[in-house]
Amino acid sequence: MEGGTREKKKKEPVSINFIDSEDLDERIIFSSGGSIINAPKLAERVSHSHLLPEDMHFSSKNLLNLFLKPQFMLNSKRRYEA
Amino acid sequence: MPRENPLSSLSLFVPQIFQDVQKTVINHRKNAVVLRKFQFQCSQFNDDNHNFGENEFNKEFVRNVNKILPVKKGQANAERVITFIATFVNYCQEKENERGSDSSDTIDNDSTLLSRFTGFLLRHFLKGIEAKDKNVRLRVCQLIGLVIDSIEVIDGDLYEHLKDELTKRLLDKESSIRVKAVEACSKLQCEEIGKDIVEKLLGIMQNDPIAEVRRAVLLNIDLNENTIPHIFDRTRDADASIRRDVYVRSSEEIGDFRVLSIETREKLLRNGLTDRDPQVNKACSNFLAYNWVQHANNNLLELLKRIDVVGSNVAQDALLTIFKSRPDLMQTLNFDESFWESLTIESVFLVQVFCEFNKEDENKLDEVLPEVSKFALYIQKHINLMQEAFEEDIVSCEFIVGQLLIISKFLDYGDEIGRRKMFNLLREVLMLNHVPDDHIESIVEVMKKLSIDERDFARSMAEILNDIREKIETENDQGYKYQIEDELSASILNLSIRSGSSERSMSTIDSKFTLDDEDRKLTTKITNIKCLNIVRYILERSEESLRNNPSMYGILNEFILPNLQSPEPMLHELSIHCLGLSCLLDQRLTDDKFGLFIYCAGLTNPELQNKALMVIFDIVMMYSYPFVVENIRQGDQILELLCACLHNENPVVLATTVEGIAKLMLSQMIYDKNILKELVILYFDVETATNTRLRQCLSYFFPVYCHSSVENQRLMLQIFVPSLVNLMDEYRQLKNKEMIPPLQIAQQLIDWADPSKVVKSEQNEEIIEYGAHADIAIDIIKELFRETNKELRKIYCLVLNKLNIDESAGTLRFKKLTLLTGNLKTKKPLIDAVSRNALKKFEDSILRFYNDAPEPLNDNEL
Repeated sequence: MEGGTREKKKKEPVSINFIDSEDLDERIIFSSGGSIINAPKLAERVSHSHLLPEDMHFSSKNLLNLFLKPQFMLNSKRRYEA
Repeated sequence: MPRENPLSSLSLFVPQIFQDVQKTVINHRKNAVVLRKFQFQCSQFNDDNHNFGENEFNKEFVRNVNKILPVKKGQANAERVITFIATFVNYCQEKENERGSDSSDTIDNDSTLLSRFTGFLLRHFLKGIEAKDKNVRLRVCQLIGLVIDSIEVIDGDLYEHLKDELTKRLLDKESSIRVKAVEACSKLQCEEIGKDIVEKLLGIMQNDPIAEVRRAVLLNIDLNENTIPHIFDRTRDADASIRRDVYVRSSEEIGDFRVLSIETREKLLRNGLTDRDPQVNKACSNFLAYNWVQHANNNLLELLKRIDVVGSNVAQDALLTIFKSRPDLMQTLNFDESFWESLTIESVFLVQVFCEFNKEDENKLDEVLPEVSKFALYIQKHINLMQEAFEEDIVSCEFIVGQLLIISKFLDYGDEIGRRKMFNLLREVLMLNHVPDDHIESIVEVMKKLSIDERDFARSMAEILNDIREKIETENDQGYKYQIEDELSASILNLSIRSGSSERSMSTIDSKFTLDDEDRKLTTKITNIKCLNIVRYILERSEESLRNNPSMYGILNEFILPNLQSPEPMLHELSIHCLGLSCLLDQRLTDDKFGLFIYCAGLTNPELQNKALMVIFDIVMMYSYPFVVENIRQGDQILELLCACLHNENPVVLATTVEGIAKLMLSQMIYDKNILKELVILYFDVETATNTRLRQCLSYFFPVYCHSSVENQRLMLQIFVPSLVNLMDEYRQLKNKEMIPPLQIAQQLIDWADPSKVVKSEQNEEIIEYGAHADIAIDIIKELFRETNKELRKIYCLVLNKLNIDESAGTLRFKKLTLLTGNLKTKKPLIDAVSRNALKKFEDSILRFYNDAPEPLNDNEL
């Protein structure tokens, strides 16, 4: 029963009461309270500017083929005699 | 009859509006109209106090606004109220524009009911811009941005104040506030006065660590000649949605791409078309295939004129993309005889790419391409034009010939007469004194198509090579003789005029002879380079053993071997390249020459060293590492050489070495944990941060290697802790600068060493060892006994909790772990709370799986 009640409460949209709620004290909501709100590090220059390096699109092809014959498909047959 | 005083109902009227508009946006327009009318009525009611009525309205308005300021982001009702405020201000601006020069409510030229109201609002929001409540800061930034966006004029002093305060919020510690600050600041970027705002926004777009903030700049900053280069840099942003949005925004706001430089166009296309993210790729494709094509009047030739097809390395991909996206455009292409009779660099490129796109469709190629004999005539015509061309036209003419030669590969060579015509033509082309390198490659490839088999191919190419050399020798001899006769005649004439100068004349003749010798050497060198390039392309397309092919031995002995001694670096390197290709076709030759490659790889010439390494790796790949080590002379020196090259300072040599070793390890020819460890160290080394090829090769290699085989992963497990120890030591020495944090390194190593990621195979019988991370834990705890540095010990403790350890570790390992942790606490206690807590957490997790008291371990087990 409690669970059901909670569910019903969840479904109700949260409404802001403008009609008869108390005023918010401007001095309170606008108070800085001396807390630190800045992150000075953000002004520092990032060396890589959050950019990706050039993508060389490495794939199995690069690691299975020859340097001097990139188009050459190595087969299992070896060019040597026992 | 006195008017009803609106101020008497002010504190009921306005809240009712706010209460209403928070429910739905449907009533916003209506409520804005009602509220505006009410505001106007208030402003008419001054009660002898100037502006009293409208001031009362303003105060009541913000009293209600204040109630949403502390509400957190994303709350729908608060968002609707904020939307309403923007709608209201917008509506008021509309009404003011309608009234025109009506000055009934104007105090002076610059002050209106609206400007006073918005000024009041903005100053109110500025009071809270540094509130400690982050929700308030976010809301006031949001509201300031919306209000500024809705009005047309801002008072100068207020503008400066807004600019100062908003730019500070660009550095707020909350990224969501920074997003709102970006949006608000972007409303202040205009002409000269907002220049420094733009500078700050560009800085944020480059430096803010949060993608959403960078994206906010990208979407809001003005596009102009100063900002566009920075915006286009974002085509390589780390975040894919930003990369995509560059193209979306460009296609929406940049009309004709001709406002961009050729270089910029190239960059946009290259980055977008090669992006791995499908959404970015698609956005760029659409940008090109619709926006750009449309601005070229849907005419592909017109489009190609605006991409530098001659110098471009992206034009081919761009055109293939258009063909793929726009089959409707491809239907309109017509390659009739008049097309072939009047080729331009754009039209020949268009048909070349069309052939490439349709290379699997023989019928389509037949429709488009002339028959071989006719095509040979077109090539002949353009070669003649190329030879007659003036300096400024040579590049274009060469390009056209190059494209025609590429198209030659797509022709149907079933017709004998056509084949003979083409063969003779291409042979004559190779005989020309100057043939661009890319032309040679295409010609050799077509020659192979024209040949019956590989032996026929080698024989005809060998004949051509010999003809080329004979031709240059003949030309040199004739020229030499001609020069001598000419000079002698001139000298005789000189003698008859000035008989007293005969000795000097003879001296002049000697000097001329010397110059001729230099010319002959240069001509010979150029010819040799050309011949070796031809040989290289022949060998790249050959697969049969050299010993079955006498012509190939002729080529080897007459063109490759003599140039191995050449002092000319280019010739020497090229001959090494060709010799390497030859060794791939002949095992006996490999035995003879392998030592030369080992020698060259040990030299300090990076170009030669790099080429020799490539040859060595290819030979090992071809014949297999164990075979080479046992059967090829000096093959046993390979490992030593590779270890040395892994410390080479030249980035190209180092990257080639790493890539070659990756090949051998992936082929399971090399199984060496020391080498694998070297690769790991290199991957995280600060010195290799800019070696993109090396880093990307290893980025690909490590997971593929470790996850493809239990045996491979076992090697990674063995080097895990030793590598981490080395890297953490380096981290300590570098004093934490620039290097990737050790915890991040550890997590990467853990991923590579994750047994659950090993691919299960039906074929192999490998047993996956799920408990292997417990061994890593054991090694780490042993390291904790040794390590004295407090920071490093903390990191080790944290790493322990990153490992995946469960019951599959087995009883023995759990005993070891509990014993070691117990001993560690008594013998080498951890000083700081973080380390102690981490170790306790680890110990608790172990005991969850094995909560019995551990039995004593005997010496062997320990």
